[in-house]
Amino acid sequence: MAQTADSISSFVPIVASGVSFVSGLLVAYFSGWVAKKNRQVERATDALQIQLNEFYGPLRALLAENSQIYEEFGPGRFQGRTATTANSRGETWNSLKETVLVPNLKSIRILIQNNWIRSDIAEKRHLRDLMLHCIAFCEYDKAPNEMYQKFKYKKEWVESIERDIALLKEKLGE
Amino acid sequence: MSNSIYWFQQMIRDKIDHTKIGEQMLRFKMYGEEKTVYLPFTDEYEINSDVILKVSKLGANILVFPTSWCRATREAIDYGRTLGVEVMPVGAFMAKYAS
Repeated sequence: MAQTADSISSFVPIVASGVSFVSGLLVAYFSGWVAKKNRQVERATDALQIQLNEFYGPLRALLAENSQIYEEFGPGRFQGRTATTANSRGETWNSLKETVLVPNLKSIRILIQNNWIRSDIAEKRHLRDLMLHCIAFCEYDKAPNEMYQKFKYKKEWVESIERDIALLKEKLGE
Repeated sequence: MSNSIYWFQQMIRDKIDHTKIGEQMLRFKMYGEEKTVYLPFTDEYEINSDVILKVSKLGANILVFPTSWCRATREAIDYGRTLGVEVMPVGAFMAKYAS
């Protein structure tokens, strides 16, 4: 009986050290898993932040500038004026098109192309249509054609982009 | 909305003997042939096939547009040819009829 008690008591430290070893391993594994998860979350957050800052931010700014110029100086402003005023307004519009609008559209096209995968553009009709508009406008400006009607700028694209931005901010907890 | 006829008339005043017809057209004779010119309104800043059809119905055979605020589509120029409406910028008109 005393011998059994002796052999049990000699096992206790072994079992205890075994348990502590296993629990140590579990703790190490768990903290490694938590750290990995944290890194994944961090990377995903960084990717969202990059999308917001490097794609949607510049895109929204370029679109805002073009929309404002169109509203202030675009063809809609020629109406109700004398032919002489229309003439000078037309020249201002042509100059702004050449110096601001067309370069902005070219930048938008490059932005969309460069962020095609990151921003999942294949799944976003409004961004694909916007890219086509950029190409069509530049072509139309060089040689006006009626095909352009299909690719004219649509105000609802901005609303869709705003929704994309809001969704990204929501994911970022902003 | 306004038209460009006054401004255009100033340009051709001493070069072409013409008569104003209605609000946006004028007529002149060149080499025994009568020509009717249509000047677009400012809201017709884009000369497309619809504008050409309207011009043709009005009986004009030349559409002159100022390049500063007006553009003509390729289709409109081609459609104009089929309807007998010559679409040209002011500069081209001046070179052809007023030089």
